[in-house]
Amino acid sequence: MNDEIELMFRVKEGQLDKLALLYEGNKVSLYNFFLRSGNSPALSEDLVQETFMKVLAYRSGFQGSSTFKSWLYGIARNTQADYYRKSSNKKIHNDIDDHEQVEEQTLGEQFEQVEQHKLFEASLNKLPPEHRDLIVLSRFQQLNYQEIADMLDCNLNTLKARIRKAISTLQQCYTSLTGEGRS
Amino acid sequence: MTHDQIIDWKLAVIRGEVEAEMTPEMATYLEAHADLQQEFDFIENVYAKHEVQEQAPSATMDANFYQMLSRAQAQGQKHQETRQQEQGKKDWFQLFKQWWLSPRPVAQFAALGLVFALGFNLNTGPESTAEPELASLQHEVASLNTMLALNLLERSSASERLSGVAYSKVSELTNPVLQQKLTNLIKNDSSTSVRLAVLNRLALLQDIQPYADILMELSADNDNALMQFSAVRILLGSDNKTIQKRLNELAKDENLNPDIKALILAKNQQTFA
Repeated sequence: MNDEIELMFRVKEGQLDKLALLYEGNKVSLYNFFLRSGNSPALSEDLVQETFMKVLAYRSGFQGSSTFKSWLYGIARNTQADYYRKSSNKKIHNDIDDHEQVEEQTLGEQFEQVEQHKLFEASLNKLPPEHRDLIVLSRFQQLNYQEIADMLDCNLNTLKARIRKAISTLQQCYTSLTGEGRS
Repeated sequence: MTHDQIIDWKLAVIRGEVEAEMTPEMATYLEAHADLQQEFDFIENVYAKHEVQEQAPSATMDANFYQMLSRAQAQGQKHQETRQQEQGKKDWFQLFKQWWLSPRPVAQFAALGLVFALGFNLNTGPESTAEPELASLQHEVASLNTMLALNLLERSSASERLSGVAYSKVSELTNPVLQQKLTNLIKNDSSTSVRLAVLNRLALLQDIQPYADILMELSADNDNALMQFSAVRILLGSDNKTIQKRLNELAKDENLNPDIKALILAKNQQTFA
């Protein structure tokens, strides 16, 4: 973690080749962050590229007051928000169809687990972006609460309250989908 | 004991921050609240069990990143060289001033002029005229590059559009279709890297006049500082008096980004110094 801060300071000083190490260490998780946020694979790749371009462009603003991941994901969220603000007529794609293609091949006793997985993904995609981001960042991207709080510029208690609210909304979406599926 | 405390505890267990054993007090509270029990079950059976399935990005993403990094490194190096050249020019100017104040400048200047006139007359012959076949071939290659650039600029992937911008560097920018296409990309492209690449392409032009309107529009747009700085940088590099006048007008705008205003004013001071 501290190594990443050190590397980012090197980039800030002008050693741009050090950005490659930061990219290699974070590209997969960042790509999956965009995927889980409901973007198509091609767009997720473009957003990763755009995020690192902004890391380079705004390197002089890096202070190292929080972790590099916290700073990176802050830029990533803004990049995604900018993209959808500029192309307001475009809706976020979701990858449920892609998952279905893979998961339809799974058979027998795994069926229930697969169904649950699909319903969870569908519920996640139904959430408002701010709730979805909180769940994706805390549950799947393994960012700790302090990192997320730094990114959102709020205190830990506020963050906990927001996460509880996000999970509660997720549960409502999930229950409603389960109900629809059974009726 | 509260509802929130139990949910926070459960989430902390999932993150491995606390022990998974529930206290009797918690268990009693949970049993007494059906809605909490329902939420608790959802977290335990669905939220916590949802597996993280990481997918790998394509090799194209890596290729695009390293292409971007190499461009940034080259640009940084170029910037450094430019600064060194500017420093060199300043030194040369100092030397020139010292020489001009020395006692024999006119005689030396006349001798140099004579050498230049002789050299010019000797080297102006029939062989210096352009060969028409070579010129025609060069024109044909430029046209093919223009077609390729236009084709790539219309692709949906940002990386392909970036390649299109790269091809436009060896194309005929006088082509009105290509001009229109590049103008549209600067205005509307969803990727900032593509928009910046087009601006960098325009920075290489001798005459920026055909793009002056769009560049002025970007210079006044405070929403994207990167694009704004790049556009102003290109306009400041132009010798066109109309453009400079329009920039000075822009600098008077109260809503303009103060950094941009400072950049324009600094350039003005440098010009009049």
